[in-house]
Amino acid sequence: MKVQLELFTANICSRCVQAKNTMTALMEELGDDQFELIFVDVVENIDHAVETGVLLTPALAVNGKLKFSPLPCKDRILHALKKELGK
Amino acid sequence: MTGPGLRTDYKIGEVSSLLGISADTLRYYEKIGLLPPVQRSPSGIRYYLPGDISRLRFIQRAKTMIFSLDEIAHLLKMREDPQHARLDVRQLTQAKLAEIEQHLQDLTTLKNELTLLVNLCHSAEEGCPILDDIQSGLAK
Repeated sequence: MKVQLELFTANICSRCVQAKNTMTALMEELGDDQFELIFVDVVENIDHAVETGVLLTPALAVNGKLKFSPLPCKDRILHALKKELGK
Repeated sequence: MTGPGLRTDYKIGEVSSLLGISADTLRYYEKIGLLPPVQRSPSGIRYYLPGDISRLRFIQRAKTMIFSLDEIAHLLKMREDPQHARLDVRQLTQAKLAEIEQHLQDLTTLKNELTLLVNLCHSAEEGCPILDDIQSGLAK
């Protein structure tokens, strides 16, 4: 079963474009057979964002649980995702 | 009154200003028994003691939860003597506690939603999603 990643962003959030690029690059690096990356716009999906615990953007949830908010550097995300695969 | 800065009794106008409850309402609460008979001077002036103020604050809080005056009267009985409160009063208190817990959850969700929107506003170079959200809500 794929690990589901949700990247919570907003059009107006200045750091979100960079976050999208980072996550897209990470998926290319890790391969999409193990991860499913979904982009969630928090303004359009505010109920879901709040239920997940998102108070800042960009934020990343792994299998429905908030992992990073805001997003750290690429290496730290990579480390966390590799750890997730080992579970 | 005793001691500098330490009030032990308040006139009705002072209580009204302090708590934002009209003098008529204060007299009404006393009339229907939400407040026990308030201490009076020989000339009939009401003096509210700290216990009365505490009780009035409790009534105000309960009213913000839209509890009825009848329900509040029962809750006050529980507040006065929890050990000897009747079963129905205890059950009502339990039910009201559950209502408050639900209300707190709703408030927490609302607080988180507003926090997210305010944080988005701070990071926005132009426009404000709070307004967009309110406008889209109004349009529905």
